[in-house]
Amino acid sequence: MNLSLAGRVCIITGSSRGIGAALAESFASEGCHVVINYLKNAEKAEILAQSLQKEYGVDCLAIQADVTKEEDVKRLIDVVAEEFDRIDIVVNNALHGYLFDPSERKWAWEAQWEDYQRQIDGSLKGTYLMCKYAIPHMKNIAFGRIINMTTNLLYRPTVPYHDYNTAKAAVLTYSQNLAADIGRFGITVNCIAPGLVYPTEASRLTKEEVKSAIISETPLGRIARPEDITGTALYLASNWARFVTGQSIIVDGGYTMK
Amino acid sequence: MNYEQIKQNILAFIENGESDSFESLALQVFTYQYENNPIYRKFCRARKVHPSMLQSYEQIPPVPVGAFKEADISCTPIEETETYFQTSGTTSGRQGRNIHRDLDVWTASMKAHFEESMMKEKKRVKMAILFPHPKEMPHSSLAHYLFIALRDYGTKDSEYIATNGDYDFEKFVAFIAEAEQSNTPIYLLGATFSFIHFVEYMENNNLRFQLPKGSRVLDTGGSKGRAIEMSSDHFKQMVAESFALPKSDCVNMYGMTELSSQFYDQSGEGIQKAPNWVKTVVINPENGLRVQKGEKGILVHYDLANFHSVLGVMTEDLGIAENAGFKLLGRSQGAEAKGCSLAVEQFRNGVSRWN
Amino acid sequence: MELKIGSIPSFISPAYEKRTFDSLTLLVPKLTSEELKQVISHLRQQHRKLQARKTDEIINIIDQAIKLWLDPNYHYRKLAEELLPIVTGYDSEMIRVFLHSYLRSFRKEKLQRMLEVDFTNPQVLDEFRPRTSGGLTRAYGPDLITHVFSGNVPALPLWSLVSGLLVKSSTIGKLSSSEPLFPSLFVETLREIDQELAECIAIIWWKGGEEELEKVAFTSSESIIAYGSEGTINSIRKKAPSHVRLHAHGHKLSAGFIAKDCLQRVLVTETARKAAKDASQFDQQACLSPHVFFVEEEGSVSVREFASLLAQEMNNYQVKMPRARLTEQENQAIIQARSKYQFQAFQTKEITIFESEKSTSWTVVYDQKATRFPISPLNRFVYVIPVQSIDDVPPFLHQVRGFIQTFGVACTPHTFRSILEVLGGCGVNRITFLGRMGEPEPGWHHDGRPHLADLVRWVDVEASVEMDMDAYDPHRV
Repeated sequence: MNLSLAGRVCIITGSSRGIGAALAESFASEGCHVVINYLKNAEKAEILAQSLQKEYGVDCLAIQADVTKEEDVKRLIDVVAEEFDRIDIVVNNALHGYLFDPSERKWAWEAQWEDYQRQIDGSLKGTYLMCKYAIPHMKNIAFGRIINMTTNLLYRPTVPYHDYNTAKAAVLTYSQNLAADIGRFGITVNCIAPGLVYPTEASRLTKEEVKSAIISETPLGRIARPEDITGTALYLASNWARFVTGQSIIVDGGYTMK
Repeated sequence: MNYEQIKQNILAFIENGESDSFESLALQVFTYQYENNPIYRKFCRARKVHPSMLQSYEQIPPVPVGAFKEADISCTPIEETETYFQTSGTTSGRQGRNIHRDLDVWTASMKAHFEESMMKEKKRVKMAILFPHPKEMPHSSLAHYLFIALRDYGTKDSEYIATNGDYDFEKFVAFIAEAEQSNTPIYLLGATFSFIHFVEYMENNNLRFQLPKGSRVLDTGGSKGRAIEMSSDHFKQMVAESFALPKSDCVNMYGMTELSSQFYDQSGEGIQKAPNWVKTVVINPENGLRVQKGEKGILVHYDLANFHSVLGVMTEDLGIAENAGFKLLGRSQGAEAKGCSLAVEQFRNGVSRWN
Repeated sequence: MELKIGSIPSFISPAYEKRTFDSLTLLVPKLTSEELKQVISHLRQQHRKLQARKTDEIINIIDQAIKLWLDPNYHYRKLAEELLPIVTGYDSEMIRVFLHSYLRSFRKEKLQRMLEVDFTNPQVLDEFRPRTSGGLTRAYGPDLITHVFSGNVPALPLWSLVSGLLVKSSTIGKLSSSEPLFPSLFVETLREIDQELAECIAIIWWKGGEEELEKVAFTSSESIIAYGSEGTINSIRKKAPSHVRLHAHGHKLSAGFIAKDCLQRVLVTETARKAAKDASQFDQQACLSPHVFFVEEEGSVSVREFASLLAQEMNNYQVKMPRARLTEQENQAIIQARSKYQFQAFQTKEITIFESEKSTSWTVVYDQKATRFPISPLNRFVYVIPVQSIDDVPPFLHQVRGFIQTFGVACTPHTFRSILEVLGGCGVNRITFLGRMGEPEPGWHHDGRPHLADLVRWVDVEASVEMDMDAYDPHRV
C-alpha cells in the first residue's frame, strides 16, 4: 500500500487533545513526523509527543503557538522548517474554546458581534495564518496537503451555533479559493466536516437526549469518536487523494447527506 | 548510542565479526549518523527516510559520491577531527573530502583486509611503493594506505620510488634487480598508471624481469582518464608478462576516498572481494531498488568502517553482484546521449580542446 | 515480430543484420563494399532521370506521400505508430501527436516555401534562367548525397531526405542504429507513388566508423549531410576527400528566455506549461531542446515560484506522456546531477531542487547562483536561472558560443525586439515562441545555414555568351 505518507512532515494545530490528538497519533502511525501545536496545555502536548515518538519511532515536536497571532505562527513555521527542512501537511484543527451545548446556546438576537469575531479569529484567521506561512515551504517542494476542519452544521444547522457555524462556513469558502489558487503548485486544500464527536473537551456538556436524537437519525447508528475522523484526514493527505482538491467531506455517519 | 560505543562495536566486528550481526550493526551506525551528521539527516529527510522505518541496511539511503564535493558530510565538525582524505578531483576539478574524527577504525579496516588478502605468510616483505609519501600528499587516502602497508608489513629496506612528484625508475630498476639477484620476494605497490609508465620504460630500455617466487604486484586506481587507457584484464596480462608473475599474484585493489575499506581482486576474473564489514548492493538507478541477481547496475557500498561520514555510498561504477563482492564493469560515463543534444562530457571535451 | 527494412535496388540481395528492440527485430541491409559500389552506379544512372524532372513534380510526389501519411489509417503510418514507441522508447502518444504536426510541415505549400526562401526563382533548379544582371544561371544539386541520419527524434531524417530530393540528388541514407525505421517506411511510400523517384534512394546501414563502406560512400558522394556527436562528425571529416562537401550538424545547445510580463497572474501557468512541453518533448534529446530557462525577476510571481509551477507542469506532462526508460548511465547522470544540487541546496537558500518522487522522470533546478551556462544531463532535467533582464543572458551564452542553437522566448510585443537583438548577437540562430521549440518551421536555417541553397552549386552563363555568340550565328544578317 503506497499511501506516500511515511517520512512526511505534518503540522496539526490544536492537537494536545481531542480530535487533534487523535489526528496526531494517526499520522504518526503512518510514519509521518508530527508537530503537535498547542495553546496552553504544554504538559499534555509533551507527553503525547514523547509517547508517539516512542510508539512509532517518528520525530515529534510539541510547539506552543497561538494560531490567531501572526508572530506565533511565523515562529511555529520557522521552527518546523529549521528542524525538518520541509512541510508537507498542515491540518488546521485549532479553534477558540467552544462549548457545544444546545441548551445553553445563544438565540440569534442574543449573539454579539464579539462572539462572531472571536470565532472568525479562532477558525478563519488561524487557518489563514497557518496557510500563509506554510505555503511558501510547500511551493519549494512542489507538494502540499492542507486539511481544514469545519463542521457538518454548515450543511444542516440542527443546532444553530451562529458564530461558530458562520466562521466555519468562511473556512470552507476560504479553502475552496485557496485550492483554486495553489493547485498549480501541487498543493491540495480540502475540508473535513465532522458531526458531533464525543468524547472531547468541547462536547463534554452535550446532553444525552441530544446525542440520542442524533443517533436516531444517523444511518451508522452512533456518535463519532475522535478516531473516526482520522481516516478521512489520512486519505486526504495520502497519494490516493492526489487528484482531490477544494472538497469538503462530511464525516458524521450519514447524518447529513448532500 | 554514543561515539565510543559505536566505534568499539565496529572494531569488534572487524576483528571477529560474524556476518549475521552486520544488519543490526549497520542500522545502529545509520541511526548514529542520522543523529550526528546534520547534512545527511537533511538528505534522509528529503528522501523521507527515518531510522525507525528501516528493516534492512539496503533501505539506508546511499549518498552519491559526487555529493562529497558539495559539502562536508561528516558526523563531527571538521575542527574536531584528526584528518580528512581528499579526492583527486580529476573529472570536474572540484575536490571532495571524507572527514575522519580519528583513523582508528580506518586503520583497523585497512590492516585486517590487507592481512587477509596480501599477507597470508604473516611475514614482513620487502616493498617498493610507486606513489608519493604521505608527507607529500597528506590528504591522499592512497598515500596513507600505502604508508601503512610499508610501515606495518614491509621490511626495513623497503623503499619509496616516487619523490618530489616524480618516479625514479632507475632506482626502481636497481631495486628489482637487487631482489632478483638475492632471490628475495618483493611487493610492488602503487597506482595503476605508474605501472603502465614503468612497463613503457622497460620496453624503451629493453628490460625484462623475473621476480622471485612469492613476489606480488598490487595496483589501484585504474587507467581511466590517463594518457594510456587499458582494460583491467589487459593491464593484468601486461604486468604478469613484464614481471614474469602468475596472474593470481597481480592483485588489483579497488578503493575510494569516500569509503574506509578496500576490495581486492586476486581472481584474475575481475571479481572484487569485500571484507565482511562491507556489503555491496547493485541497484537500478531509476528507482534505487536492488536489481535481480546477476543483472548489472550501479554499485552501492555499505561500509561499516565509514562511520565518520555515511556508511552507504553510491558510486559511478557499473557492476554485477558476486559472492562477497562484485564484478566491476567500468565507470558509468556521464551518459552519452542518444541524440544530437550536447552531452556534458562531450561539451567539456570540445571546450578543453580550444583552451 | 520481425521486419525487413531499408531500401536497395532489387538486383542486389545483400546480407541483413538484426537490430533488436524489445519484442521487435528489424533487419537492416548490410552491404559489402562491392555491393555498395553497384548501388552507387545504379543511383548515378537514376540521377540522370531525376535531373530531367521538374522540381514541381518532385514536390507533388512528396506532397502525395505526406497526404497518405497524414491519414491515421494509412498502413505505414499505423505501422510507424505501433513500432516507433518500441524502437525509441518514447511515449506512444507523444510520437503520435508529434508525427502528425511534424508531417504537416512537408505539405506542398511548405515545400514551396522552403524553395522560395532559398531561391529567388526556384525554376533555376530546372533550367538556366536569366539573371537580372545579365546572362543566365542554374543551380545543380549534388549528383549523390550521403546522409548520415540521426535517431534521437523519430522521423527527423525526413528533413535532409526531402532537401536532397528537392535539389534532385540521389540519396544514400545511412540509418541510425537507434531509429532505423521511419526513413525506410517513408521511402516505401514514395515507391508506391513513383517507382522512379524511389529508385534514386538507397537506405542502408553500417556500423558507424566502418572504414571500407564509409570510404566508398564518402568518396563517391558530392556532398555528405551528417548528424551526430563531435566524434562522429570529426571521423567523417577525416574520411571525406577534400572536394566532398560536408554539411555537419553536430551537437547543439538550446535554451529559453521568459520575460517578466509572461508571468502575469492569469497567464503564468500557461507559460509554465509551454516551458514544460519544450523541456519534456522527446526527452530533451533534440538539439532544439532547452537545457535552461532564463527567467526575468520581478514578475507577478517570483522566479522560484515559476520553477515550482514548471515542476508541476513537468509532472503533468510525465503523467500524460511518460519519459522513456533510461540506461543505467543516463539514470546515473541524473542522480549525480541531482545530488550535486541537492547538497548545495542543503547549504544555501539560493538553490531549490524539484524532482519527481522515487524516479528520475523529471527534475527542475532553480539556481540563483549560476554563473555558467548549465548543461543538463538531459531526459527531462532542466534549469531555471533568474535574471534581471535579457542583458544578463549574453555572458552565459558566450561560454558556449558556437554551440548555441534555438531559443524559446516568451515575451510581449513591447519587449520582443530588444530580446531578438540581444540573442541574435550572441550566436543564437533560431528563435521561436516558448512551447514551439521542438517544431521548426519549413525553410528554417538549420544551424544558421540555408537548407537548400547550401547544397547546390551554381553554373553562371555570363552575358558575353549571349552577346558574342550572335557574331557566329550562321543566320546573321
